[in-house]
Amino acid sequence: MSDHAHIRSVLPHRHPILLVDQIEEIEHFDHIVTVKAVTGSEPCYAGMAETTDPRRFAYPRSLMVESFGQSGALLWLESIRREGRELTGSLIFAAAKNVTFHRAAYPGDTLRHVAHIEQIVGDNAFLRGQTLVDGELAADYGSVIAVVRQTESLDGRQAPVASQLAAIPRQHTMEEQ
Amino acid sequence: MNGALHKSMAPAAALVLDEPVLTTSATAPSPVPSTAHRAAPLKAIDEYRILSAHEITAEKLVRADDPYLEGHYPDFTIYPGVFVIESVTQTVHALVEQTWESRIEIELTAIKSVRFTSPVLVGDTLRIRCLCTYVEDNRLTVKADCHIDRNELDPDLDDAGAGAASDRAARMTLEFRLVRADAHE
Repeated sequence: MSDHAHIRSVLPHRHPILLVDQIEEIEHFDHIVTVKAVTGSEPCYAGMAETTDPRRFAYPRSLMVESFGQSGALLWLESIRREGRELTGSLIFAAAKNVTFHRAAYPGDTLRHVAHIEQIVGDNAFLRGQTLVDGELAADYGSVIAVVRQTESLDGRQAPVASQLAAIPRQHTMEEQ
Repeated sequence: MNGALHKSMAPAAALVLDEPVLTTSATAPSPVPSTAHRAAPLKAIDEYRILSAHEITAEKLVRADDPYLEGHYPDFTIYPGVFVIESVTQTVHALVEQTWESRIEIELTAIKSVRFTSPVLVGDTLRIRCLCTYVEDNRLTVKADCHIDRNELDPDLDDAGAGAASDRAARMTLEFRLVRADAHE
């Protein structure tokens, strides 16, 4: 169990896109269980046309993936910190493969993410896992790659260097099929 | 209650679709209305252009005041990778609205693969191109290619000569399910 202040000390994300509320369980370098409560007051429900169709209030799947990715990053960064190391730079979603969605979540639901580290190669973390809602499978993540890239100058402006993303060893990249 | 709702929604009841027919002849860019008809993190495309019943392009100018971006990240803003997926999803939605029955909704069922190759930053214009293939069981497979026009590049550069002016931001293959939108309305 971990408080929200601790999560904020590890993840660079902030309101309103800090999408992990609590750590329920963590085994460093192995897996993490986190929760995120979906509420009707989140920005994704702002500006919606009036409707009687409840399906239109399904929590966006893009945000569900973001919440899972943050959970995996939390496991990764927290594990590294435990070894006395820190990764500095920008946390980036680099790739994913075989992500499937099975049921929707609505305001009032709680997303429970279970994220596993498959392997860590340099500044790249390879994750897999699931999102559960009411004990039912909501999403399955076959493979997700998160990377940390240094923020440095690119033609006069600060940016993560794209060429570094392309430098991920080929056996670990997930090319289009 | 939500569990019951979920069960009542699947599978889509007897939805049979013919091959898509383009109901609009508009080839000029169409603006996207600001009012959303379903929950979305942001209006992820500004305008779209339908090329055929299977192909569509769209654009999104990334702004510092776009929803959610203030927290991603406070000291250096990056358009999240999942928002690029959202931009593609809204592009596909625009095509479905115009080429299938108007009351068909799409539901993202799978990210078969996605790879992000360059960060998308404030001031960049994200250019999306989607090729959609109808497959069995009311499913749509979408291959999307996303490029960015960098905000600091010479404005005199010709868009058509995109090689120098544009970087690939992402490629992805997504799968959607087509469902009737009128069940509760």
